[in-house]
Amino acid sequence: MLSSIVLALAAASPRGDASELPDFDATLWWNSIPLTLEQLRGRAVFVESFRTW
Amino acid sequence: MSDEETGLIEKYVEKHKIGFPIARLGSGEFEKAIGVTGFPTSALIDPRGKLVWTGHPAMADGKIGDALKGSKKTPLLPAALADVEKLLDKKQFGAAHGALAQLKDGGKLAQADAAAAQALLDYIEKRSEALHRQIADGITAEDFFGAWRAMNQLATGFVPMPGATEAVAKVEEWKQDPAMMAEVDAGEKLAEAAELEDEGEFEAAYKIYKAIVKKHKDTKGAARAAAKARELDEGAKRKIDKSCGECRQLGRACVRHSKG
Repeated sequence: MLSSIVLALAAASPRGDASELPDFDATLWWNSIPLTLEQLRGRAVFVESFRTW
Repeated sequence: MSDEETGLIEKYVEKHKIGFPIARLGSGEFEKAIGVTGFPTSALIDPRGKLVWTGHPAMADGKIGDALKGSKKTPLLPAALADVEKLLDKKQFGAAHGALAQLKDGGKLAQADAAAAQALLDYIEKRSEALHRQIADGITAEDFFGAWRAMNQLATGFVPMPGATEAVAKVEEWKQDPAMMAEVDAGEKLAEAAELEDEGEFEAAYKIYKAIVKKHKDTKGAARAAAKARELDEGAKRKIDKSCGECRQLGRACVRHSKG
């Protein structure tokens, strides 16, 4: 399961105007253990915000 | 990630057979921080946890390709839980649960590691409970395919947790029962047809419903399929031509296409 995490894709080149982010405020996860940004440190993370409609 | 109701996200994950992590957000703080103004919106966060790009997912391809060159798969769990991470990677939730309980009861974990272990124990237990619920709900609603899938997940990944051994026995029991396996097969095909209906592929769905009726007659699945096929026929839906504006507007086949 953890190996299927496509959220954490790769290391990316940081941009100059990068900003600090708050952690995920997730209450529930599907297909994954609960994750925090801290756990993903060292990996690049690709996220997609969607709605089902 | 989405902030919608759990049930809506659940159905979405199920319907689109999503296998990657999906999070239900508790507030809009994270989406606000990555600059979400519409949906869908994607963002790329660098290995230091900083936002490096936000935009429409269709524009992400080039950015991700560049990023993949320096990829590092760092552990997601603390070093003390490295063995547990390996078990989770292999979807061995039951074994991971046992290992976590042992580590926690051993009292040798640092406070943060013990908290991480407890969070994982809770997660695995909730996942197991959800599968038990899916089995019970599936049987009640005569969704035997849904129950079968949940049963198999419990049987293959959650032994020796409570109820998982019973799931193994139940899987074997159903396998030996041709009538039950016919229901499971019919249920799988019904789900496939429902998906086609959602995509507006009514004729293809109709053919599957008819095939279920023929192959699995006298099953509950066949009765459902027959009803669904009737609905498509009576509602003049099955001959809808997706490229016809009139059909789309009517939500059924127009006069011209209903004759086709």
